[in-house]
Formats: sequence, structure tokens, C-alpha cells
Amino acid sequence: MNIAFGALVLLIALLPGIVFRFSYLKSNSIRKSINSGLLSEAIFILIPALLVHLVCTPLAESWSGRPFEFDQFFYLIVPPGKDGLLDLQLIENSLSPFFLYILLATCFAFGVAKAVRYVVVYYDLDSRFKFLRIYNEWDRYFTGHALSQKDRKKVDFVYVDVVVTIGGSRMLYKGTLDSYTLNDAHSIDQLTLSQVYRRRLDDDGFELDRATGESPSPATSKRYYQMPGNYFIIPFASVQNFNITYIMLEEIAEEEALPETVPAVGTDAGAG
Amino acid sequence: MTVVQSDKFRKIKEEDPTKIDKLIRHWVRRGLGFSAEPVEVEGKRYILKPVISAEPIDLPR
Repeated sequence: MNIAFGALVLLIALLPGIVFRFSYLKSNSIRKSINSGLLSEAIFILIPALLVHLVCTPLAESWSGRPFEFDQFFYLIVPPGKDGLLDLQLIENSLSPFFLYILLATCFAFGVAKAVRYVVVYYDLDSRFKFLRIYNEWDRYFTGHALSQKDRKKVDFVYVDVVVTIGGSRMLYKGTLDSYTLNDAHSIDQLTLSQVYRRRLDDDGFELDRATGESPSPATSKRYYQMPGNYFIIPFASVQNFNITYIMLEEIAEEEALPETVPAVGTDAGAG
Repeated sequence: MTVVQSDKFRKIKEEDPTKIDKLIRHWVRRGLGFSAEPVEVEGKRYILKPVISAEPIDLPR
């Protein structure tokens, strides 16, 4: 057997571990949700593969009634030379059961990875134990996993205030965060917002003067400009900083008094 | 990457985006001293509210 064949056999044997790793660390934005090194990746594949085989081989043996020939498997990976240790007839007969075993072990690894991921997220273990980490830092904030589980359940959407420098002046964009993308360096590439309002950062508002009831700052309608369009995309390279607010839609009682009603921004002269 | 958004929020946004627009408009105002005005969805009235009272979060650098 040549080295390439041995490597192929080893790869097939590691398949449950590979599936476990990708199922556990699945991210919608990038292939690798966390920036792990080669050694971490290898450990993250080898250990689950070993554990899956430790569980599955006794089950397979008892189910099939045949012992698992580990020595023959070893000789497939490491050629035994010419001393006749490799039983080719046995290998030929075991080919179908072996692939069936790998298939079932891989399915088992997939299920276990999903279950472990669910438990880790549910009990917030990934924030306590680094080796269990599923989300990168940005994922944690934007998926609400930076919050406690109790608070996370309340979140209806994420609202952001983004400071962007355009032509020497700083603009503040406010809107609901729809999505974001990460680049290969695991940093944000761009943010996609909707229901966006924009104003110059210098045009900060002030509280109403209690005595006169007037505002010393220009009216909200004059400071804020509602961005047209459905989605507004901000390249993250132009962002100086941003603020994240987790918002919930709270149901209020029918008899509860209506809060103050204000006309639409851009049409009123109200203070803000 | 999908951002956390509840089914309730998505449903309102798909069925009548103007209601979300209205809530956000008032939310912008709320940050400047105004309260949110409720919108009615299937007989229930909703306002926007921060999940946690705004404690600054240390963002990753």
C-alpha cells in the first residue's frame, strides 16, 4: 500500500471528527467562525473522531457479531512489508461493513455535535470555557450571545448607531442591523442597515429647557435625514465606532395611556 | 451573517414595514427625550424598549 492510500484510509477514519468539527462550529458568515490554528483544528478533529470510534466500535461489534480487526486497519495505513500480515481477503470482505460503519459513525458525530452545540449555547458554556467557543466576538454581539440567556430571549432586533467619517466630517447613522459579513481576518467587512437616519455628529441634541420648553438645538427634523431605500450598506473600514442596542417589542395594555405622539421626522418642527 | 431578529419582528416587517418605520421614527425621538408611540399588530399594541438599560459594552478591537 502506498502512502496516498494510507492517507485516504486515515481521512476516512477521521471523517466523523471532521463532520463533528464543522457541525459544532458552523457559522453562516464564514467557513471558520473562530480564528483557530492548525494545531487547534487537528485536535478539534482528532479527539472527537477518537471518542466517536470508542463509542461506535463496541456497538458495531455487538451489532454485527464480528470483532473489529484493528491490526488490519493499522496495516492499511502503515504498510506491513512482505511478511503477509495484511489479510487482503478479510479487507475485501469488510469493505462494505466498514463504509457502513463510517457512515453511521459520521451521522452519530453530526448528531452529537449538534446536541453539544445546543447544550453549550443553552448554558452559555462557550463564554466560560475558551475551548468550547463557538462564536467569534462579533457573532457574540450581533446574535445576542453577549447577553445573559434571560435577556437574549427578550431581544427582537439589534439597533446600531454608527459613526462614519465622510470627507472630513463625521456622520452618525442610526438604524436596525439586518446583517453583516466578516472577512478572512474575522473582522467585520460591511454592515447592512435598514430604517436608517443620518445626521452630522456635531449636531448633537440637547434636553428641552425646563423653563421655556424650547430646545437650544435645531429641531430633529432639521438634524436627521431619513435615508431613502430599503437597505443601507456601510463598509466597515469607514466606521470609527458604533453603539449596539438590543431592542424588544413590548406589548402595552389597552388602557395604558398613549405616550406623546410626534409627527414624522422631516415634516415637523418639533424639538429633539 | 444573520443578526438576531425575532419572528415577531420579522412578521411585522414583512406584513407592514411602515409599522417598523413608525416605531423606529419614534425610537429616534425617544433617544432625544420622546416616548415611543405604539403600533397595533393583530389587536396588540407594541412599543420599543431597550432590553437592558444601556450599559456600555466593550467591543472587540
